[in-house]
Amino acid sequence: MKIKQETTGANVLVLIPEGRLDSNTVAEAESDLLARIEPGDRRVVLDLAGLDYISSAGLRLVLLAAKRLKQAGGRLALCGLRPQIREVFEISGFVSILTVVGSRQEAEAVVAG
Amino acid sequence: MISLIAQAIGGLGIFFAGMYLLTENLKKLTGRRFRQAVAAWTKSLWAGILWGLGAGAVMQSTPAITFIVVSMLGSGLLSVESGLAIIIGCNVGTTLIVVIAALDIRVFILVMLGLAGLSFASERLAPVRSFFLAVFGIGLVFLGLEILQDAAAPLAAEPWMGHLMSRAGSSFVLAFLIGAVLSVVTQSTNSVALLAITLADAGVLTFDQCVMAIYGANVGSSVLTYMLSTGLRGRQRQVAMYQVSFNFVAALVMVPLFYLEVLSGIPLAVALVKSLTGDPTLQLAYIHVVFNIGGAIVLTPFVGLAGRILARRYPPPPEESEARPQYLYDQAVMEPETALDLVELEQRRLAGYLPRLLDIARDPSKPAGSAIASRQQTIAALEAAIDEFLDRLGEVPISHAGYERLNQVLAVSRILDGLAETLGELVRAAAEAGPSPATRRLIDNVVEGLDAVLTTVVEAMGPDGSGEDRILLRGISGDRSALMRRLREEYLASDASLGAADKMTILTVTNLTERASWLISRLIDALPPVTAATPRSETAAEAGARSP
Repeated sequence: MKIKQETTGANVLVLIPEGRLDSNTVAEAESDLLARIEPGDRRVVLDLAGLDYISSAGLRLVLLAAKRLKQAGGRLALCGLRPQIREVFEISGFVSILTVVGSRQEAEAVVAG
Repeated sequence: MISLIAQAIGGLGIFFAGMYLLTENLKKLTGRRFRQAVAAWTKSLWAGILWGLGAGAVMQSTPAITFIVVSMLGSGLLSVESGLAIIIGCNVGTTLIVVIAALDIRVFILVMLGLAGLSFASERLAPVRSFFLAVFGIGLVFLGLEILQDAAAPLAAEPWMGHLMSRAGSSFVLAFLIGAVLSVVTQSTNSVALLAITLADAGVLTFDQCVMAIYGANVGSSVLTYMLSTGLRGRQRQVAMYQVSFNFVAALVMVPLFYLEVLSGIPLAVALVKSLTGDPTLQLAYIHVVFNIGGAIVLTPFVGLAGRILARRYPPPPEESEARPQYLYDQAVMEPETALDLVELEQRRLAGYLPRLLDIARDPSKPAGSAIASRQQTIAALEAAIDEFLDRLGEVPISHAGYERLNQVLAVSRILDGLAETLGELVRAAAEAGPSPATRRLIDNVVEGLDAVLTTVVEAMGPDGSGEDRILLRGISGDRSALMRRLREEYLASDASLGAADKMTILTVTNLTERASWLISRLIDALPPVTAATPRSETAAEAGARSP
């Protein structure tokens, strides 16, 4: 599990986790992810196109990141969900409280706007 | 020989069937008033010992009483301390055969079985069926042990038994060991004692050797209890092992006293029984009584210590302590507002067990049946304790606002009950699912999705759950029927090679997920509003530590 990072011209932080986000990787992913969003980047896109698998622990990490950003007045959008990953988000109902869009461009536009 | 083996197997089966009937039906009988009555009857050490003494004198079977006590512990009727006191008393009580020599216990058992069995024919007695089933269970426990012991009893008449005992020569230690071994083989202390007395009459053994053989036979008699208790755990095992150790402790005291008396001439147990009667046969019968009274005298002052040692040696399995309320206690109902706070805390504990049901579905390679049953039993026991507490709460005067809260926690109770049942069914369907990749993928997604939302709800139920969490959760709650219909159609169409069983699994899993999601939504709606937001410190990593 690794998280790549890109910053767009509109000062949007794009985080791209790759691999599996489960209980074996979530602790490391959590400290990594929170360390990247806490210094001040308030507009964040999570591009999940490289994510092969997400467990309940991974889902809750995404929710935690969204809550932290909301508390700090920031925004989070998710994009690139593969069908299986999207299905888990839908079953949990998290899709109703997170901003989930199809493409990276849409996500960047949502958080930048 | 074959018929004796069949008799032993049949006896074992009847014993375990009796234990099952007794434990299960005692659980149903353990209403608050009955439990309080039993607690009052056995609340002091001496009351427990007296009950044991009486039960031992009437029932004449230490293993049977031990396992009845084990059942009562399993159903939450007795505390370990009361159980230990009863064990002490029954060891002495069973030796009082001389007092009630006229009572034929088999007649008593048959009458008990007959009356309890006949009650099943009457519909008017249906409301008290659990009571009669428990009585029938007691009868079967006795009958099973009787049959088991009868199967071994003819061994005492075998010529080699006498030969073996006569091998003791003039040794006390050998007489003790042979007494113990023969008691293990025959499962009857009385048969070995009778054999020893017969050999003493014939001049093969001395009176003193007979005393040691009887001491040995008492120690050997613990083996049956030990063997029958190997499947027990926690508090039940503690009490069974107390019975096993009773005879060892008694021997540790009585054997050195015996040597002291024989070697130094100080009048002790042997002198005592000789002063009571001139009849050697009765003297040896009294030795049996003195041995057990000696054990009781030594063990009685240390019941508390023994309880602590046994609790350390045989700690309760997690599910045993999980099944008991952590926050509720009898007197709490006197303060209804606080009592409702405690119910909410207990309900949060209960809700916390639900995601662990889902854990079972994560590893299809492991057998799921017993794991599901065990977790559902834990949940059901805690639910029953909460419901009983709520019943009592309904009997005390509560403010208007209190009734609103009572209604709310009653609703949460029903929802948690439904969720436990639904998730149990879901996990069972997952365990029975075939290896088709489509059904496995659906099950995996459902398990992770439901686990994530349930774990989030459990967190929000706690006193540290923030108002923000609850607002967030209200966004999650909602109708999943359209989603489930879509998933059902997609999965059914996803793989042409899906068999009828796979398709049935897809229908079952999506149906149950829809029901579980609806219940979770109801649970979210029933969460009490939070007045002050309290930020949480728990991390997703901590929350995810138990899931893969």
